[in-house]
Amino acid sequence: MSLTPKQIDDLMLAGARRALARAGNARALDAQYLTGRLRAVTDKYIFKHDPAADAAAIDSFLDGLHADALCLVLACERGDDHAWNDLFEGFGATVRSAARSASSNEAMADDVAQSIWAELHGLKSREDGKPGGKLAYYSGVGSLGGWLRAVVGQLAIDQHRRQTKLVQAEEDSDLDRMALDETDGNGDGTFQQSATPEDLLSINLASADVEKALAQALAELPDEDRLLMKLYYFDGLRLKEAGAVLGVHEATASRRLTRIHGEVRQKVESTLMKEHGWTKAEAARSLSEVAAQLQTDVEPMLLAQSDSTVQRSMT
Amino acid sequence: MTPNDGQIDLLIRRFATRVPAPADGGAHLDADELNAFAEGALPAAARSRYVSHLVECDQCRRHVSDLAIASGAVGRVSEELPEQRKTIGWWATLVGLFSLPVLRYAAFAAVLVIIAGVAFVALRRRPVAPELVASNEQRQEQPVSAVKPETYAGDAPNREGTVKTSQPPSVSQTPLPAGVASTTDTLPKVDTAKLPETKALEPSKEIAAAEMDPMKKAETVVPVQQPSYAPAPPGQSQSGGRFSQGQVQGGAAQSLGALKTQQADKSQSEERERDATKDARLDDAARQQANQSVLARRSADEKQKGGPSRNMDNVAMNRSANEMPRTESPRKSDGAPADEEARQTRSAGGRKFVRQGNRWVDQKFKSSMSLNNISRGSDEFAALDSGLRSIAQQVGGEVIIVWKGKAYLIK
Repeated sequence: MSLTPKQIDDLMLAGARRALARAGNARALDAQYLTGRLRAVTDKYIFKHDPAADAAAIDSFLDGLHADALCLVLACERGDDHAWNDLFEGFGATVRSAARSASSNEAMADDVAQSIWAELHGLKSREDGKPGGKLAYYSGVGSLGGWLRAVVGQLAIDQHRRQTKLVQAEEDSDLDRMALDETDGNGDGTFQQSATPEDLLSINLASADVEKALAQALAELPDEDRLLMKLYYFDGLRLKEAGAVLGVHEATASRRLTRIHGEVRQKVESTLMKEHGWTKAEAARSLSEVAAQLQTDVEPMLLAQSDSTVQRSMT
Repeated sequence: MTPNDGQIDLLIRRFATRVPAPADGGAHLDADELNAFAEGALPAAARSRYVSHLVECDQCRRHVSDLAIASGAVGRVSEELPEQRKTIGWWATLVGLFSLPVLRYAAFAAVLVIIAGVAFVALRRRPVAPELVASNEQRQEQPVSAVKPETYAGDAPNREGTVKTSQPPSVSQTPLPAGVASTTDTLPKVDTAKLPETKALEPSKEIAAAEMDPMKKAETVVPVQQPSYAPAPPGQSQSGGRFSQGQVQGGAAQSLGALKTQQADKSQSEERERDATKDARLDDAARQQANQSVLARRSADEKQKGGPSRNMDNVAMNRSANEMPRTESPRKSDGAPADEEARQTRSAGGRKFVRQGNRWVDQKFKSSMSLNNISRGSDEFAALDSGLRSIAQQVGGEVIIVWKGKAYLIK
């Protein structure tokens, strides 16, 4: 049973009072002023995904907000100069560090760091006459420093796009893909030189079948497992980093990856057996053959990738 | 990573390079959502939605990855896990102790331990049993050995070193364990020489001898180990063949009884002489026992003179066998059965106690001593020496104990 608007308002007011009491510096904010922001945040993170959320879940969510940071941001939005000073002094270094990380050179980093404060303050006014800066999007769910890093990162990408009119990541990806396609397409692979045309044909057919079954198996994985596969195999993160994104330890991510390997292999074999009428032994043998040929095929591919990476870093 | 995992790993890596990046869904996550996801601060429902988006959206996924790495989530997760791993490890260890594979080995080990225990007990009892049997036979049949049939008298030297002297020679000559031989080797030759003369103990005497406590047994053995103490009269031993078998048996019993009573009466008379000065009742008892000792001596004298007084010896034997540790009641000599049970003695903590009414009295107690009244369970009782308390607890009831020159009446 979902909550009534009156009950939600009461929960918001009570949550605002608790947040103000929890904050080290409430910056002369009243609960009513804070209630509006809390309601917006709750709608975004709770009711949007779970309209039937109960009071306990809402209270728990509100009590987990960063009360100090939220009060600081609200005070800045209200035009409190002390709050702005505190924000600048407290998070100036964070902004500069994030700008340097997100920018390819120092000049661009300075440019990003200068412009972020203007973005935060808001060059345009909102309908109520107050500056419509990016601070209005801070919810207090995450830390203010992390949010600033995210904002700086997005801003850096926007500036980069405006300056180069190209997205570097997509360019790299395309270049890599082109290089790989070229390697596969012209038949320069190691195993292709030693394989007869009949073998090559059968191998390509088997490889296509396996690839199709593999795509199907990956698509059927749960989202959490798919995200791990994406982070590890597609984005090239290390297990430690992929685990950090998912909020788990490297060992947990490794165990999860091993489990996914087993599930994917089982699904691929099952698909091959179903579609081709193969036995389990035949499906397993086909997988092994394709993997063995990939082993000889991947090495020059990886070498080409590393060479292109070195060349890009040198330029 | 297993070979199968390696194959799948290779296939997925290959697949990842060949699959084109999906088109952006359009609605990316904003900075606040990205940061909240990277910091793991999202509610479960929202996080599930964002995971679905991140799987498809490379751009948001890269943002989240960068934010998670930049925010130190890598180190944070690494620091948090050891405690979690420790808990899991402890629990896993506990569960692992009772898991089926471990219990399988535990059951096997338990069976081995049981088998080893049974084997140990069985092997341990086997060599001990003959010794126990031999010692029991020796102790119980020692008096019996003194009443060997006369027909075995000529075989006495051959029977040295045997215990079951009451058995026929063919049985007694069978080899015995070393322990048995060593015990019987200690028997003096005089004893074996006297065996034919001292065979015929009556069954009641045998039972009485068997029921004697170790002290009495020791007293029984002592004169045997000191053959020069009471040698048989030459006339009696020489003329033994002329006597009837009953007379010979009676003479042997008399001589043995006399030895026993002399030994017992010697110690008893000393004690009774001390007791006589303590209390009037004890004086009566001492007097009575002194009379008994005189009676025993008289019987011994008569024996030595060659005139066996079987009745007197029997009385002395019975008393020495059954009543030796007890203090005779002065009225016992009068033949009153109720008075025989009225006075009892018992030992506790190496002391002898005489029952006087409802009270046990230490024989060392003198009427001139002043009594310290102490109740059991009181603080004074708890403050007593542990030895004194131990004696009081062993005796029970009201008891007078003389301890370190002081008399305590413990109720």
